[in-house]
Order: sequence, then structure tokens, then C-alpha cells
Amino acid sequence: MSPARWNLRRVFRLPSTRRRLHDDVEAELAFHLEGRVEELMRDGWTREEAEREARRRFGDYARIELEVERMTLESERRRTMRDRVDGVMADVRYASRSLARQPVFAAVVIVTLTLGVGAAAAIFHALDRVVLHPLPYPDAERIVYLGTRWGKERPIGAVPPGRFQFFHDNNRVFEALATLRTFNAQLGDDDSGTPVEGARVSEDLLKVLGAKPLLGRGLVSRDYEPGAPPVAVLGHALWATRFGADSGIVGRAIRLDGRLYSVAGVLPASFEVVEVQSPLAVVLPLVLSSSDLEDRGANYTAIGRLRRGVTDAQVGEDVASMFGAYRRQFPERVEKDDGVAVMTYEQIFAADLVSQLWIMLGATLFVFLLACANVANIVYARALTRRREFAVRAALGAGRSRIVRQVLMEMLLLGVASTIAATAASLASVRGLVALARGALLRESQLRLDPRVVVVTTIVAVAASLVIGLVVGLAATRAGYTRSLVGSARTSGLGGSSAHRGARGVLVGLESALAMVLLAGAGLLISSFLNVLRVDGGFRREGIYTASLSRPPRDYSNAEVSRRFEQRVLERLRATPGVISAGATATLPLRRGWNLPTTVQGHNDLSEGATEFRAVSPGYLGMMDIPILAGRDLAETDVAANPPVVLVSEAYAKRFFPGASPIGQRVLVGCYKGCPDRHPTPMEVVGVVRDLRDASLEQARPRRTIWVSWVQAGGDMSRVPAFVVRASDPGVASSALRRAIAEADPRMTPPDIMAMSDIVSASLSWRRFSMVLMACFAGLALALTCVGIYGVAAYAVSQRVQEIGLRMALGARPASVVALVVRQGTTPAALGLIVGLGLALYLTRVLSKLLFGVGPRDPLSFATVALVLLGVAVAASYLPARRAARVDPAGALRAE
Amino acid sequence: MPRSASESTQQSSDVGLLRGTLDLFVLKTLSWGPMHGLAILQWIERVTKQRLQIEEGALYPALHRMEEKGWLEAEWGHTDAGRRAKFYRLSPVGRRQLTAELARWNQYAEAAALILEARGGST
Repeated sequence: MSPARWNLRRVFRLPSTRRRLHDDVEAELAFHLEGRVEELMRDGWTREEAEREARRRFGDYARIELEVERMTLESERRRTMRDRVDGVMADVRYASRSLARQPVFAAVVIVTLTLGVGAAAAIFHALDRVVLHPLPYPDAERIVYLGTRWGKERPIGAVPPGRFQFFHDNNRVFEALATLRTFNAQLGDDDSGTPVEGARVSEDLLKVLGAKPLLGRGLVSRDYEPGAPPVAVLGHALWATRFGADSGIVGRAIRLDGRLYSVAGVLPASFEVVEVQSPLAVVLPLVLSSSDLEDRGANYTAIGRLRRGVTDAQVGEDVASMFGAYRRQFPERVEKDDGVAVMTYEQIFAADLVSQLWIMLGATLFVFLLACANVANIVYARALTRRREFAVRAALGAGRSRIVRQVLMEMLLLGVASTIAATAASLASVRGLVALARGALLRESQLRLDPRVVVVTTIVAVAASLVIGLVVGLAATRAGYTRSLVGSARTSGLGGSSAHRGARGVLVGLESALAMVLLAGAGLLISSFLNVLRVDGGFRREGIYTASLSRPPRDYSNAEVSRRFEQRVLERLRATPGVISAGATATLPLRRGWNLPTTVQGHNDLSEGATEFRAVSPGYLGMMDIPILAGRDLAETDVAANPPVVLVSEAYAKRFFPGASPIGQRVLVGCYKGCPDRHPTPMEVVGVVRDLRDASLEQARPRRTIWVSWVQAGGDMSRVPAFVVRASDPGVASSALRRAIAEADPRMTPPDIMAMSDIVSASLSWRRFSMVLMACFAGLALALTCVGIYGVAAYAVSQRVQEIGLRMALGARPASVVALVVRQGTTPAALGLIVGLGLALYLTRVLSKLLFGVGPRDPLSFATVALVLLGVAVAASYLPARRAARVDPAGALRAE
Repeated sequence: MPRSASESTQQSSDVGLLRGTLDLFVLKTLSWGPMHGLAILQWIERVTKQRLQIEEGALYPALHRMEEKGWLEAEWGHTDAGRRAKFYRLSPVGRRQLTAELARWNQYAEAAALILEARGGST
């Protein structure tokens, strides 16, 4: 045994088979026994005796052999594992060193991927919360709403109470069906009490939602019986803030609007009724009286939990047959075109949001693809500059797979880095999304970071990186790359390099096509937005300031109290210097308004179910620059004691009094096709008001509207109006409003003051949301495409320095060199642009619902964005072109 | 039946062979140079003049265990007689281990001697 042998370490360890390991162990032990036998035989033992003795001394051969073999297998397994881990770690180390040498490259790839993945993640995030998991309850997919559908209109998520009760008693598909009605009340002593928002709920609400009380109990049957002691269940927030999260609260008494209730329980923090924006402070039992049941005008939210396993078809069938039975039993409660609908949460509360989010998710897919194309482009460029390195490694024995694996490992590292960055970015941008969509249904609670979203983000980012790595790795190591060792990169790659340029040209074309689609979408949304901004709603915006009030004290249910309050506020406002005029209205423009059925007196066929109803103070119309076209305005004398009067809009007059003057006619308000069972006072038409777009600036045509004096409106239409002033200075206006209201009734909660222009702006929040998002995506797309075009053009110039030098030596002028480079740089982008144009013409249809005053194929928008894209392409290739034009011919040729 | 290496070593230790001492003997023996298993035993027999009874088979799990721990390195080679055998040698780690084990053994032996030689009733 030569000592030198020991210095030959096992550099290449061949993988051992189980068989070989077994043989080795056997050979080692056999050698031992054989050696002993020979030794003993030398001492004079016979072969048999020697063998027996050797065995005896050895001990339990079978056991020892088994044990050694097991140990060998085990250590071999561990060694293989270690080798594998070492291999991966070596790859990681090599890849990170290689990336660290080119930090700019790494940073550009990470930023690009982060933008691409992060945008998609943020939108996916929002979509996931709003569409896929909107309700924080178990088996939330079984929670549905019972709604009303008028003809072909979109169903609304509410039903009259009688209808709820009938469905509650007769259905076969709901495990539980409940309803609720919100109310405002004073908590505590009458004068110093805090206003709170609560809900009266029917028996099964907690069962429908699948929620359990945190403390005590929920409402149960006996709480609904006549004469039952009054009980209340507290909301978590109220319990925590007002009662210091006192766990002994159950059984104590609270005072609501002067009545005493015993606390039965406390709701969990997660309790959330989606249609109520603020958390419910208190929940009381809702008992429907017989007059409630006959009220056809009231809208109750009916929320149900479907039985496990019922199909949509079964639900539809049961609901239809029940509605048939209802119609037979209460024909007077059902009107023409009247129907019921079973709707999901998103259908009622988020239908617009959902379709927009899907569109935005589609847009982020484009951004993502674009980012991938750009990264592929950059990685490809880098791979080409590394052909020598690859060739050297190949010459040293690294196979193609080894080199591809190295590229893959680098991409994996970049992908992981991007995932981390994208997760952080999507978390940050989610806050932005909320800010952007403020006033819409996207609530903060719907936008927490969700582990599933992180998982999806990771998978997408890493998978994209690996695919890019694989494609580029394979493409860059196509046959012949090893020739880079022979001669310079330029000469070896004349044919190859143009093929590579072609591949990168395709990527640039793809980027341009994707960017074109996004730009077209953004262009259409931007011009829609500008169109809406130009819409004249028909009411004054400049210098108009509004104050909305909520939760008036309890005694405001008395019309006289609230009328006196209105008078006091208006007097004070009008007396304030700087206030030009002041008025009150039950409905601010562009806010949710009332509508009621109306019938022309004596003509039951001249009737409609939903006429817009506006109750305002005299002088409001003048202040808002809303002209009276005929007759007179509402007057101070139109008070409750005098005969009720009404103004009608142009559209109303045209519909019901065509060709005749409506002045002097009478209208029944609150009656559909006349109301034989009730006898509302007819209101005399005294004037015609110009049509407005005050429900929404985007409404296709003005709605038929009637205007009445606020003090004659009656009922609980509005216990307290909103106040509006016209003033030249916003500061004066808001302090005047605040002071007048506080002085008129110190118990009133401070008003919410907004300039009319802000109300207009807020009414466009959805439109702004989609426009800003799409514009961001398009801008991102443009920037990425610009980088892509620049990169390819710059690479082409660097590869062709000699050729350019030769051209210039032969007399080409710098301008023609610039033109050549720009032409070659722009061509793939222009081709991509044409493809993108076709794609955009096809795809912008999905935007139709979001467009306003512009078609999905608006030629002007398309031409504009195409020119922008082309301009960017020219600019991006102009920079390298200028460098090309400065090539020194002599120097370039000498470098050969 | 699977059992742990140390358990079997202990079981197969013969009279007079304390736990862990087989490892120490092997390390010490190999400090003289590479040997195969049988040679290690023969060396111990020669040095102890056959006064120590060792269940020979127990040597092999011990050798493999020490190889796995990195104390020993093993390589197939040929004996002077031309027979294929597995040779073991001390790795640098094994050499450090030997030094440590020796120190510990000496401390143990000294302590044991103090107890065994002490006379009762002092203090």
C-alpha cells in the first residue's frame, strides 16, 4: 500500500448502488474471517476447526453484517443528500456572485418583475377579497339576498316587509331567512346621550350569518313574543369603547331613546353586516306589525342562508313558485313587472366594482407579460455578452444543462427577490387602492394581506422567472455557442447575432403590442373621464357649500320641531355676512335620492313607479341656478297649512302632459296607478323646472322629477335636511354652516361639510379609480417598452461599430447613420404596434360599460396613443443612434 | 432488528472493555498508520499479549460509525499478500479526537486511582 494512494482523495464519487454496498460489507467481513482462519491454520488448526473458531471469536456474524450494512446505507444516503445540497449551494453562491458583479442588471430585472407581479398581486388581492371571499362568515357562499326586480332593470337588494314574511314562512330552500332595519337612537340620558346606529333584526340573523355572540346570548324566540322584556345585544365596538369591554355587562340595563333595555349579549368583533357601513352599536328584536306587512313602499334587506346542497335551479324554482303563491294570495301587493331575485353579495353590492376589477386584472396580466418580455430581453442581452464565459465553462466540461441550470439559478434568485419586493409593493399599493376608491365599497377590512395571495404571488413570480431563465438559457446556448472561443465575439456571431437580434426584435414587438393595448384602454378611459367632467349637470357648482346632518335627536320625528330647526338655521345663515344665499334640501345632487310612485290625478294610466322626488326650501332652485321654465318657484307661503304644490321637470311634463301646460294639473304622490285604498292629498303643479343630471352626471337622459317644498313633503322623508349656501369664500361658508347649525340646536352632531365641486368629484370616484389605474398600467407599459427598444438598439449599435465605421469611411453622413439605426430600432416596435392595434380594437369592447361619450374604437384615441407609442419608439432608438453617428471611422476600423 | 450503533457496541464489549474504550483503542492503533480491521485486532492482541477479550465482530460497527463521524477515512486497497481489503486511517479530526479522548482517559484513570488508593477515615 503506497502512501501516495492516500493522497488521492475521492474527487469523483461514483454513486453507489445498494448491491455494491452490500458486496463491500460482505467482502470486508469475509476478509476478516478468512485472515483469522489462515492465521489459525498456520498455528496448526484444521480448516473446519479454524473456521469454527474464527466464527466464534467474531460473534454474531449475521447481526453484525446487517448492522454494518444498515449503517453504510444510511451514511451513503446522507452523503448523497449532502452532495446534492452542496451542489445547489454552490450554484446559489455562483449565481449570487455573478449577479453581484452586475448589480444594475439585477436591480433592473428585480424592479421590472416587481412592478409586473406587484400590480397583478394588488388587483388580485382586491378581487379576491371582494369577489371570492367577501363575507367574513363560515360557508359564506351559502349566504344570499332576496331582492326585487323591476322588469329588466338590475335587481335591487331589498324587498317589502310583507314579501319577506311570506318567503320566510313558506320557502323550502333557506336554512334561515332574516331581515334587518337600521335606526338611529340616543344612548344614555336624553340630553347628554350619544347618538348611535343600531339595527332591529328578525330572529334568525345570527343563524343566517353563522355568527356566535361573544358574551351572553343572541336574540331568541322569547325576545320576539308580545310583552317580552326589552333586551338588546351590543356591538363589539360600542361594548369596548363605551363599556370598557366589561365582561359583566350581560344583564345590566342600558337606556336607548329613553327606554330601558337589558343587555342580553355582546356580538363578536368580526360581526359585520355588509350593507351597513359603520359597525352596528346595538341590535334589537324586529317584530313586524300588520301595518308593516302591508307597507309596499318600505324596503327591507332580506338575507338568507341556503340549505346545504341546494342547487341554483332549485332555488330559482322554489322562489318562482313562492312568488306565484304570493301573487295569488296578495294580488294587491304585486305590481306589473314586479318580480323577486335571489342575489349574491357581489351582485348587489359590488357588481360594478367586480367587473372593473376583472378588467383591471386583465390589464395587469398585460403589464405582467410585458414585464416578462422585458426581463427576457434584458436577460437575453446579458446571456449574449456572456457567451465567452459560457464557452469557457463548456470547454472545461460543463454541459449545456449545467449552463442552463446556472441561468435558471440566477433567475430563481431574482424571482425570489422580486416576490419579496412585490409582496411589499402590493401591500403598500393596497392602501393606495383604498384611497383611490374611497367612498366606494372597497373597505379597509377587505384589503388585509392574505397568505394565499402571497403564495400565488410567489408562485407566479418564481414560475415566470424560471420560464424566462429556461427559454433564454436554451436560446443562448443553441448549437455553436462554443465557437465564441474562436475569434472575437463579433466575427463568430455574424450569422448568430442577427438571429439573436431577431429574437430580441420579437420580444420588443410583443412589448409594443401589449403596450398599445394598454395605452388604447387608458386613452379611452381618460377621454371618457374628460367627457364626464365636461357634462353640465344643470346645477351650480362654484361657490356652493353643503352641510349634511345625520342622527338628529329623537324629537325630530315631530315635523314641527324639525321645521323650526330648518327655519332657525336658514335665518342665521342668511344673516351671516359673506353668505350670498342659503337653502335646504332633503337630497343633495349626485347623492342617493328618493323616488316615489306618482299618478296624474284622474288618469290612473298616467303613472310610474319611480319618479325622482326632491324636497327643497324655497329659493334653493334659484341659488343653484336651476331655472324655472314656466309657472312659479316654490314660495315661503307653501307651508303645511296651505294647499300642497309641486314643480315638475321638463321630462315629467313631456311624458305626462304632452303638448299641454302642466300648470294647474294635480299629481298624486306615493300612488302607483292611483290608490283606491288611500287618499293622499293631490298636489297642484305650479311650475316647470329645467331637467337636471343630478342623480349622476353620466345618466343617459334626465330622470322625470318632481320638486316639492321641504315643509310640505311630510312623512319621515327626512327628519333633517341638508343645508346649502352660496358664498364666495369656502372658509366663511363652512364656519357659517357650522355655527348656524350649532346655534340652532346644540344637540346636533357636527355637520359633514363639502363643497359642491368635491361632491361632483366624489361622484366620479369610480371613474377616476379605473382611469388612474389604467393610466398607471399604460405608463408602466410605455416605460418598459421604451427600455426594451433602447436596449435592443444599443446592443445592435455596439455589435456593429466596425460596420458603421466602414459606412462612414465610405462617405455615409452621420444623419443617414442615425436614420439607419432609428429605422432598425423602430421597425419591430412599429410591427408590434400594428398587431397591438388589432388586438386593442378587439379587446376594448370589454371597456364599453366604463366609457362615456366615446366608442370603444374611437379613432382619435387610437391614433393619439399610436402616435405616442411610435414617438417613444423613435426617441428610445435615437439615443443609441446618436452614439452610432459619433463613431470615429478610423478608430473603429483599426480595432478590427 | 434495528438498533443503534452505540447500543450494540456496549452489548458486545467484553469483560474489561469499558464503554467507549474500543473507540479509543482503535484510534490509538490507527495513529500508527493505516490498517484493515483484522490488522487492528491483531495489533491490539499483540500489544496486550492477548490479555484483552474482544468480540471481534463488534469492531466493524465501531469502525463504520467512526468513519461516518469523520474520525476515520476508509479506502479499499491491497494487502502485502495482494488481497483486497478495506483500510482505515485517522483523519485530522480523528487525530484531534484521539488527543481529547486520551486526556479524558488519563483524567479518569487518575481519579479512579485516587479513589482506589485512598485510605478510609481521613478528613
